[in-house]
Formats: sequence, C-alpha cells, structure tokens
Amino acid sequence: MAESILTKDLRASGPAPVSSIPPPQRWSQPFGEGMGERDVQRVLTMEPFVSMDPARFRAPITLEGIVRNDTRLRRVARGEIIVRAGDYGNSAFLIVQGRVRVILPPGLPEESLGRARPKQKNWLQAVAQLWKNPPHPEARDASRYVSEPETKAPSPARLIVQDAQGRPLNEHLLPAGGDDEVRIGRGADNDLILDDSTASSSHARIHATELGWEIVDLGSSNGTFVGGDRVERHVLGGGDDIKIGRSRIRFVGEGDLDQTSMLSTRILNPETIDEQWSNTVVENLTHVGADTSHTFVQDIPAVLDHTQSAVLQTGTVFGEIAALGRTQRTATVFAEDDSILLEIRWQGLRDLRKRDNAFRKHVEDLYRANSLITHLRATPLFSHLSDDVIDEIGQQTLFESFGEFDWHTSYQRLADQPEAQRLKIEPEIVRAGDYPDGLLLVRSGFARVTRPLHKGQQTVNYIGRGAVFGLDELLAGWNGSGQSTYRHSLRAVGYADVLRVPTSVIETHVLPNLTDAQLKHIRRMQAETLKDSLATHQPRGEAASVEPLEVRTTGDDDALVETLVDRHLINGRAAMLINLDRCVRCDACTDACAVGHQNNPRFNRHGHRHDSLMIANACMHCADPVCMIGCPTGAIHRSSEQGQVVINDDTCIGCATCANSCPYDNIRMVEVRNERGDFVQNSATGAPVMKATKCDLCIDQPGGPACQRACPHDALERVDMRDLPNLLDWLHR
Amino acid sequence: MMRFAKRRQANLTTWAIVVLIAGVLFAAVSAGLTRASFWTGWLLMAAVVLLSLYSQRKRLSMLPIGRAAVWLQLHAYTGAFAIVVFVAHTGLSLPDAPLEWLLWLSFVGTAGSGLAGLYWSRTLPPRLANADEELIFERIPLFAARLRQRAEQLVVDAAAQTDSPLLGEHYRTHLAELFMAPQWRWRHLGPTHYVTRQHDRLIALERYLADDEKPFARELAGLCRQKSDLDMHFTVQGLLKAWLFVHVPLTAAMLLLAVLHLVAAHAFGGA
Repeated sequence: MAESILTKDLRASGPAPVSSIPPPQRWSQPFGEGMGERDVQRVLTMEPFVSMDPARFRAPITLEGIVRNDTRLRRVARGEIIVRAGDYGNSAFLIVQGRVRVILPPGLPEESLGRARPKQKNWLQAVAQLWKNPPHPEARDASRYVSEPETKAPSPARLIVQDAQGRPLNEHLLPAGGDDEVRIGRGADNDLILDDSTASSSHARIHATELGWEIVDLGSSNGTFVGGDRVERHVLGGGDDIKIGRSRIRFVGEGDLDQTSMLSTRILNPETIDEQWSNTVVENLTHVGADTSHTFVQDIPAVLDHTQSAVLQTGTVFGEIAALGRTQRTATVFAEDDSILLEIRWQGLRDLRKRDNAFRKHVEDLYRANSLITHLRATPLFSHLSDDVIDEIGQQTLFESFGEFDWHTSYQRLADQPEAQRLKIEPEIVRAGDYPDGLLLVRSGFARVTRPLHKGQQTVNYIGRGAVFGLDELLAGWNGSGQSTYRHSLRAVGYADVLRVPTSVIETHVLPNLTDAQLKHIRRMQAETLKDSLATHQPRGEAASVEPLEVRTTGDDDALVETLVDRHLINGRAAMLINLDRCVRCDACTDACAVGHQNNPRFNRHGHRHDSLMIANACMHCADPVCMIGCPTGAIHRSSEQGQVVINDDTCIGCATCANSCPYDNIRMVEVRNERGDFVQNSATGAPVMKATKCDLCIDQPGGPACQRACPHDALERVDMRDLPNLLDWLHR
Repeated sequence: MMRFAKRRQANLTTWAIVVLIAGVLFAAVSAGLTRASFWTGWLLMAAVVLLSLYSQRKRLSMLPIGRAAVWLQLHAYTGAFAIVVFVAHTGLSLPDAPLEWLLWLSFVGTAGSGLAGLYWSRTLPPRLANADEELIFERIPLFAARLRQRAEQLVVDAAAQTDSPLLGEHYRTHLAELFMAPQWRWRHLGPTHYVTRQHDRLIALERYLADDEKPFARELAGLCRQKSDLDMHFTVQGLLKAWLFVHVPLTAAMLLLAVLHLVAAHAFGGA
C-alpha cells in the first residue's frame, strides 16, 4: 500500500523509534539493584555461601556472579508478609537479620492475605484494542529495552496507606525507573485500590516528572488533598500526607525512609552481623523487588494467639522448595520484626544446588524438617493422628525421587521411540505382584498406573501430587482378606517425588485405630483432596478409593489415556482442546486471541491429534513447567495469583531456552519490530532481536481466555488434563 | 457439564413454549379489531435486531459478555422463531410491491442461508476430522504447490531412472490438471468420501508397469490421495466460510429494507 503524505509527515515529526539495542545477556538484568561490592563480599562470608567451594562454579556462572546478580537484599518491615500460602514462588529467602515467623496450617484467612489481583484492562481499554493495536506484527515500544540514564528518573519512593491511628495498612513502591504510573482509587483496575466509599473509582494518579513524583487529581468527587490543601496537581515531597476520601497516604521519598515509624531500621542480633555493613545495607536498600505491593499482618499479637506459628531465625533459608519445585507456597511467612533478607531467585538456587553437594543436601534436609510433616498432616489418612505419631511417621518415612528433574531433555530424545520402548525407560516405582513394603504418597510429579496385559502394560490411570497408592493392598494384608501384593505397577512419568511410609509404620500407627467409618470418611476426603490432582473415574454411587482405580472408559478412551500419558499431556492445567467433530475452522478463537495480544495470536490452531480431539499448540500452563528450568533471567515465571506461566517481555533475552525446553512446542520465538514496523536489531551483532511468546491465558484481559469464550460451536475448551473425568465428560457431551 | 442432547431438549422446549405463547397472542389479536400484521411486524423486527447482535458479539470477543456458543444458540432459536413470525406476518402470501418483494427475498435468503449454514456446521466438521491431516485453509495453496512440485519431481525421476516415458505421459494426460491448484469439488460434500479417479487409474496402471516403475507409481498414487484430501479440505472449509458471505450481506440488506418497510407501513398502511 502506498504511503500517504500524512503518515509520512507524522513519521518524520516524532522521535525515531528504537531499532537497535545492545545484546542481552543472562545477567543483563540483575535480580535487584544495590548489590554493591561490599554487599557481595559480606554475603559470601555468610552461611551457606561461605562453605561453598568457589572452584566448583565454572565461569561465567561463578559463585560471586550468582550472589551479585541472582540475589538481592530486601528489607521487610514488621508485620510485612514475605510469602503467602498459595502463591507460586520463584525465589527463596535467607534471613540475614531479624526474625520472621511462618504460619502453620490452616494458616491465615484468605481475606487477610491481601492477595494482589493481576492488573487487568477495563472494558473500555479492552474494546479500544480493536483500533489501538499496532498494524505490524510483534510491534513493541523498543525503547523499553534500553535503560534510561538514572539522572532523569525521580528517586524511588513509597506510598504507605495508613489507618486513622497512622498505622500502615498497605504499601506501594514507586520504583527508581520512574517510567511507572500509579493509579489510585476505589475501582479494581487501579494499582493502589482503596477500600473507601468516599474515594472515586479513578481518583488520582502519581507519575514521574523531571521535578519528581507528581500527583494529579482525576476529577474526583471529593478532591485530593496534600498537606491539608486541595490540589489538582502537586509535586510530592518526602513526608507529604495525601488525603483521598477518608484514606490517608504517606509519601515517603528515598531519603525519608528512616523518618517513618513503620520503616525504622532497628538492627537485631548485632552479634551475628557486621553492624556497620548492615547499616550501610539499610541506607542503600531502596528496591524491594518486582512485587511492589506489600501487605501487612494487621495485629501481630492476635495472629500469634489465634494461629499456630514457628519462628525462623537468622541464617534460615525458606521458600526454596516452592522455588525449585515450581509449586505453590505451602505457608505464609511474615516479618515479626524489621528484618533484612537475601532473596535468591530460582535460577541462582538451581545453580547453587547443581554445583554444591552440601547445599543440595541442605535443601533436602530442609524439606524433611519443614515440609514433610506438613505433607503428612495434609494427607487424610493421617490427619486424625496426634502430632507425636505424625512426627514418628515422619522419622520413618523414606524420601525417594524417580526420573529426572529436567525430564524434558530425555523426553525429546525419546519422542520418536515406540511407546513400549519409552515405557520401559520410565523408572518403576512399584511393580505389580511385589510385596507392598509401604504406602506411597506422591509429593510431586506424575506417575503412571499400569497393569499387565498380554505381553505389555496397559495404562489404566495416572496420578499426581497428593495421591496415595497401595492402601488397599496394605489393608488386605492386614485383614488377611485378599491379595496382599501390589495389583498395579507404578512408573514415574518424567519424574516423581514419592514418600514411602513403611508398611510396619502403617500397621503400627494407622491401621489398628482405623474404623470402617473413618476409612469411609478418609476415602471421601481423599477423593476431594485429589480432585485437583488425580484423575479417577468411578462408577456413580461408589465411594472414592484411596488408591487409584482403573479408569472406567470406553475402548476408545483407553487409547486416549495411553496417549495423554505417553506424550506427558497430563501435565497441562489449561490445555487447549479442540473437538474436531464440532470445529468449523472459523478461526474465531485465533482472531479473539489476536485482538487481546496486539494482533498477534499466541497459539497455533494445530497440534497433536487423537481421533477427533486436537491438543492445540497453546501453552498448557503446566503443573510442572519445565520451560522455566533453563531461563537465565527468570523472564518466564508463574504469576503469583493463579499460577499462569507468563513471560516478562522486558527481561526476556531471546535465548530460546524455554522454547527448546517446552516438550509440546508451545513457545514461539518472534522477531521484534518497533512501532514503525522496522525490525529491532542487536546493536553488536546486527541480528534481529528475538523474544519468546506464548499464550498467557489472557491474564490482562477482563474475563479470562478469549479463545474458549469466542468459540461459537462449543468446540474449544481449556481443560485441566489432570482431571480425566472432566475431560471425558467434555469430550462425550 | 450439560450434554448437548439435554441442552437441545431444553432449548426446543423453551422455543416451543415461546411459539405457543406468541400463537395465542396472535390469535387473540387477530380476533380483535387491531391488525395483527402490525404486531407481528414489530415482533419480527425485534427478532431480526436481536439476530443481528450476534455478529456484533463476535467482534467483541475480548469482553466477558457470555460465551459465543450461548449466543449462537440464542441466534439459532431466535432465527427459527423469526421464521414462524414471518409466516404469520405474511400469511404465506407473496408480496405485491417491489420493496416488499426485495424484503421478502432477503428474509427468505437470510433464513435459508442460515439454515444451510447451521446444517453444514453440524455435518461437515466430522468429514474434516476423518481426514489424515488437519490443514489450515489459508495454507492450502502452499501445500498444493508442494504436492505439485513433489509429483513433478517424481515423474522426472521416474523417467530418468527407469528410462520409460509411461508415467510421464500419464501425468501429463491425467494428473497435471489435478495437481495444478486447489480444486473445489462438489463431490467432496457427498455422502461418501471421494477418492480421485486418478488414484484408481494409477493403481490400475500398475499392472502394465515394469518392477522399477512400480514404486514411483505407488508414491504418485499416494500423492493423488493427499491431493484429494487437500481438495476436500479446500471444498469443505471453503463452504463453511462461503455461506457467511451470503448470510451476512443479506442480513444487512434485510435490516435496511425492513426499516424502509416499517416507515412505509406506518406512513401509508394505516397502522
């Protein structure tokens, strides 16, 4: 199409879009700012780093480099929640100074956790995409990839929402970058949401100017006040009190942090830390991480009175299990006093664990000490037992891992092998016919349940986290009422972490006290527990069994189950399934996806087929997202809210590790363009800048995945593949 | 999850009740002094406006305003209701003025294309699902070109390696046109899967070939079958898209004509 004169003039008048950026590297974007030379050297003198052998870390990934780039010092104020139960963790924490407390199950009520909602477009913004989306594919504002000179940005600051007595309720960081804008109001689409009926839904915004942070009233009904004066616009100074409706917000600039009572820098345990250094850390600490919203435990004494909790002392590492296992946090942790933490992102943790045997053992020991008892207590079979008995069972429990943690490499290598061949390679956890030497609890990963059929093995089910295997065999042996050997074989699909509770322990502590009523209750509870993680298909009216039942399917579905397991599709939490018998190939799904992603559809309406079922090439947001394993910068991560696997476009360096790791080919590398449509180039090599892209489940759109909402023929559904009955129900509607 | 059969049963029941109520009201109005066509006309207009909202819903896919599948159900049953009201409105008599003729034709065309589209949408996808490969419509010309290149290369190789012109002659005479481009074949819409005549001819030809020619003929026969599948996709997917090019413009025309008819009816019809 010929270029119009108007367009040409417009292009000539504005600043030239960025079309060349420096080559991105693993540590181009360090985890946090402020890790100065002194900080790094001090951290290296602390456990567990001081015990590590730097020689085991080979360049360019050195121990010092990990500390410098994969960690950051973070100050948390008294009462601040550090990790929340249910969030997906991407980092672990080492307590450098202070005292933090972990809330034991059942934990804090949901409403007190202040869970941040993902920022979503409102309806007007969503509709505006129809005409605002760029005309060029994969167009971006490439200037985002180039760091601005620091002198242009205003200093970082915080907004602290206070109650009538001046106690902090909530906090929001205005980052050092200065390119952010914070919208304040009652509406859900604001960055800082006020629970205040006298505030307008979009009340005010704070944005960076050359003079500093400026607050602008957005035509609110009751006005915005700074220092008692009603303002339309006002450049904020340190310590300014902002009044919006009945809400009071304190603006705290970088140099004013020590003036607030909440953020006072009280140093605890001075004998354990170099006080001079810690004071320097406190002075330098301005950046608290990507999660800029903070929630506080409101009444610490009351929380301690009404919940079970445990103190974590200086030197303790926590959060490593969720970070390394790509799973949800199991407990909430908050700062009981002002504390300093070293936050280690999981890429660093991974390398530490890989290079240092002691650290690997340390992580496993921590699991045994911290998480095992929690897991056992959460298992319905043990939930009625006393703490002493649970501890005893914990002591006797064996912790076993099968398969490879980064199983995707062997999966891809063996993808073309016949199914029977692949089955042989899967590590056998239990063999049918063996004496049941224990009750198996699946801690993470997946396992395939098979039974011998002629000369092969038929897959009858698959089980995942939370499942229990072998109870009926143990019961039969105990009662002498039936077959006391394992009826099915169990194999790790990819990898599986299993807890094996010895038979003698079950016979001593569990079975003697187990009444029929309790067993029935346990079966029912287990069915509920496993609903999210275990695919069991049972005849109507029959009580759920604690061990996996054979799936009652038609002959056709037997083959489907085999396929789902063989191809590891059971990993999907939101797989895009298309019923080809109903799909008219209208591409309404693709069009809807494109509208929500700047005219770039984030999936291919193509993929593996089984009969009339297609598993499309769309990110499945896996239970075990192996795509995250190799990401050097942490750009691909789980959202903390619902665990969607998303990519941070700003920190993605285009290395394609995630795309190569994804066993399902659901991540695409694209060449980025600027707003004008020119390809953005690497300034050093001249090569086009690549970014990883994939389905994000429309995380920023109102109403969730547009693809399934747009399908007029009920042909497309996002399905949790771990819920086989639901999948079969949908398939046979 | 509600099964389709159960949903259909519930929707049909609701539809029947609505039609029944409308019928009773129509009878009551007809028994009075008011002209029933006035009321049925407005009812028809409302139904048509409701029907046209569906296409707007499809554009607003980013908004959580109900799944498109629910809207399609509403669209289909409202369309069926509109047909009943249309019959009541016209009394099965043909129009007597040019504007009404155009309106009548546009309604019949819209309803007819809608029913045909619904039928094809329910019956043709399994035909696509039965094919060996799933093809994206826009890429079919690319796949067709690849098939043609492979077939031509095969014939050239056969001639070079077997020193026999037979396959080349056969390709030029019987197959060149088949591989030329994606082809719309009505036979692909028939009750049985259509396998090209060319494929059968090649199988039959095999008995006259030397042993070293037979592998080439078999591969060429395989390509014929693939081209047949590709043409089937081209025809079936094409039809599933093409009917909308009739249905949507006719809907727009019908809406415009309906407004004109409404104005004329009020101005000159004594309503």
